[in-house]
Amino acid sequence: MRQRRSEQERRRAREFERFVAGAAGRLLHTATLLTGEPATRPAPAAEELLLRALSRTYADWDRLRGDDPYAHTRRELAAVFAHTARRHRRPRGGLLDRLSPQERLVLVLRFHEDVAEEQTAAQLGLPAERVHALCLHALGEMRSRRPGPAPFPEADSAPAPGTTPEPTAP
Amino acid sequence: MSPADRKETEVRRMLAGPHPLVPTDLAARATARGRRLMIHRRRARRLGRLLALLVLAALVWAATTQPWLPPPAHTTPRTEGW
Repeated sequence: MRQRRSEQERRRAREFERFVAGAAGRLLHTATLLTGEPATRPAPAAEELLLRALSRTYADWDRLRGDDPYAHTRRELAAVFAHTARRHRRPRGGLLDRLSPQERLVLVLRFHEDVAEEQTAAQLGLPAERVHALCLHALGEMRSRRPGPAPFPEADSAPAPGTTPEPTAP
Repeated sequence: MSPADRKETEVRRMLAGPHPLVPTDLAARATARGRRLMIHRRRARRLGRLLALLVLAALVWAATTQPWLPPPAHTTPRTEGW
């Protein structure tokens, strides 16, 4: 019995490791977008978020049964982020800094992860109209920001009229 | 292409920007945490089952012994009126 369990554990660890090796890059990018940390520096908050989501996927691994582990982890990531959104309100110098945590979550799920509007709404426990409205608002905010082609804040030298230049992160 | 579509495409491109570097020990850390989480959940499940069993046992005991009834009298009541 004990031997069978350890055998199962080894198999799970092997499969999980393979999954993480393939998906971690994209998932960490998603987590960084959510926490609002810049991609050019280490992102401890995003790492912590991803670790929590991944550890839940590991714990549910034997019960996934055909469910895509990537989709499962993404759901967990969204759930953990929604639960701890208050911690991610303050700007950290990332791409989606001007958006509220909820707007970031909706924008990332819809346009980075290509999750359908109804599915996003169901996942977040929001009405579809609310998701639509959040998305529109977030899109508008992103448009008014308009960074230049370079990924650095210095590229913001010609901001759209009516926008205030952002303070650079300490 | 409608303006809304153009907006979406632009934002999609912005979101696809540079990716952060993945720490090499991420999988190992996630595995260790996942294992701890599993042990924690297993323990909670066991505790819940134990509590349910205890409640069930208490209910069965209460139904059979009915401790809220007064104990049976040891003396017969005095007979009067005949």
